Amino acid sequence: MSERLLSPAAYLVVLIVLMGLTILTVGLSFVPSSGLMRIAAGQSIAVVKASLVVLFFMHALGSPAQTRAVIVVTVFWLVAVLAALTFSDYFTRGMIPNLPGH
Amino acid sequence: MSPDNSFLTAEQLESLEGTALVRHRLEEQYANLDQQHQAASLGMWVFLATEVMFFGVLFLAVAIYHHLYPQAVEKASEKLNWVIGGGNTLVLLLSSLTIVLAVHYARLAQRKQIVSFLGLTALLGVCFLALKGLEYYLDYRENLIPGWRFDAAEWVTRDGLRPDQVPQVKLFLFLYWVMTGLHALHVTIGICAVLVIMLLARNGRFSAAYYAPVDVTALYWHFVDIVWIFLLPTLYLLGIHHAG
Repeated sequence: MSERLLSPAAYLVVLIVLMGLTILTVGLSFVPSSGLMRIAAGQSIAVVKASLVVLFFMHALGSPAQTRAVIVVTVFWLVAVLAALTFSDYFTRGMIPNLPGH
Repeated sequence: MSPDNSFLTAEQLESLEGTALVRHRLEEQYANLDQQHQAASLGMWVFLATEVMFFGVLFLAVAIYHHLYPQAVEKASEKLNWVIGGGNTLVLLLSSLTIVLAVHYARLAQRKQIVSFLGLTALLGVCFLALKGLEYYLDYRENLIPGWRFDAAEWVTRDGLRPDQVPQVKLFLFLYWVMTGLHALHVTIGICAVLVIMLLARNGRFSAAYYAPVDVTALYWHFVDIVWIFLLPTLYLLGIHHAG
């Protein structure tokens, strides 16, 4: 396919960044912090790492429009539909006292 | 080039490159190999979208149980072997580099490099499974297998949890086994796929115009890597670790 070619050196740089982020995320688990902070840090770093893999290793950068559409729809479905709707139920339970059924 | 086309001029021949007339790898429903490659690649991306949904619900389950039972889930997470979990992340990341290099050399039609990098990828996959196996054995020794090797009293006396929190620990550990087990299954399938493509590459099946199978297999392999990227913080890093 007619995608832009990255050089092996560029791929190596991406790998070094990914490995650095892995060491960072494990290192952060030794820092005393609140549970919420740890989730936020761990998941944010994972999102950055996954984005690097998708963009550079899976060649989403410079991919045809239909491939990009599939990626956007997948993320939308996972985050906005699957996760957000589920969390909006579980995370708001008990917010209103004496609500029947809670 | 078949001799049947010899009545064509050089320019005409060039315009037929990658079409069904001169390339036997091209299926007849596609105009050219480039379009066929794009269709194959799109098919893999759509399959990966279904895989995202498949693993996504399991990640959601961990998030919700963590939200409902923070203390028990974090205690259980601390007991998981983060050294092997983290080390295995590095192994899979390295294998993503080796397979992307296989794709790179497939584009350049350098057969020897394609075969070596695919072989290296499969080897790193086997390394991952071996480390995972070692980790499972250590989990067995540490009584982290609910329903088989699990000591409820230990979590109360050693970790200071209330007896009613022990089932919550079990819940998290069940998810740990299901998620890492399903991931290991995906790695196993990936290794088989990479080995098949490696054999095809060795037999000279691919060219600079036709290497879609290498590309599509690499997409799957990267996806399996991404699942592990999220498994590391979701399972291993919920609690606070202590040095030494």
